[in-house]
Amino acid sequence: MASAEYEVVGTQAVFGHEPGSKFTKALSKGQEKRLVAAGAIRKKSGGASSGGSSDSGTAGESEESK
Amino acid sequence: MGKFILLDADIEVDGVNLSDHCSSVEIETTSDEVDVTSFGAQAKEIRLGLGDGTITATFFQDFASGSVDATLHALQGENDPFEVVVKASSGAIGVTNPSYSMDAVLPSYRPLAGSVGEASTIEASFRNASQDGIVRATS
Repeated sequence: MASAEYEVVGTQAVFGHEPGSKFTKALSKGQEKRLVAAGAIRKKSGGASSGGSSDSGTAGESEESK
Repeated sequence: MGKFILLDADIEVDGVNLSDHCSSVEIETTSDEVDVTSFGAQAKEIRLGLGDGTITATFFQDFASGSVDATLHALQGENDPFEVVVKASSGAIGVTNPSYSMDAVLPSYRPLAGSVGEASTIEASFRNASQDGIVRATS
């Protein structure tokens, strides 16, 4: 698992990081998918992506630098 | 350290801190009692068999992004274990503030249960999903 940068976009702290803050962590694909789906975090950059794509986006929002 | 009064327990579910929505928590470790009593015995002889662990928490429901419902709904039925970490208080882990962690699954989830005018609370029972069971750490 490669580290990636995430932003806490939900209302609760994630891994000790308050909403609005950013953190770098190596998350498993499953955990990243769950937390993104729950609206807790958004992927900012980094990490491995297969086939040149990533599932880190949120509907209706623009893609940020990756 | 004196007698402990629970005021500031800390619970993190799959990395999400839900402490400010949690009103009760219970950590239980158990082992099966296996009866190995033989003929001629004068008393039962019990040995401990398979271990188990359960962390049960009561949350005030919140449908905000990344909060109680979003977190638990994403975990219910998920067979990829996630970590639940509970501390007696929100301070740093230490000898007087141990953490109890467990790789868990959430077999059931009731997003709504309650009556008119009451706070919407839900109880979640996180069940052990690894051979380590509930792990106590002080550092």
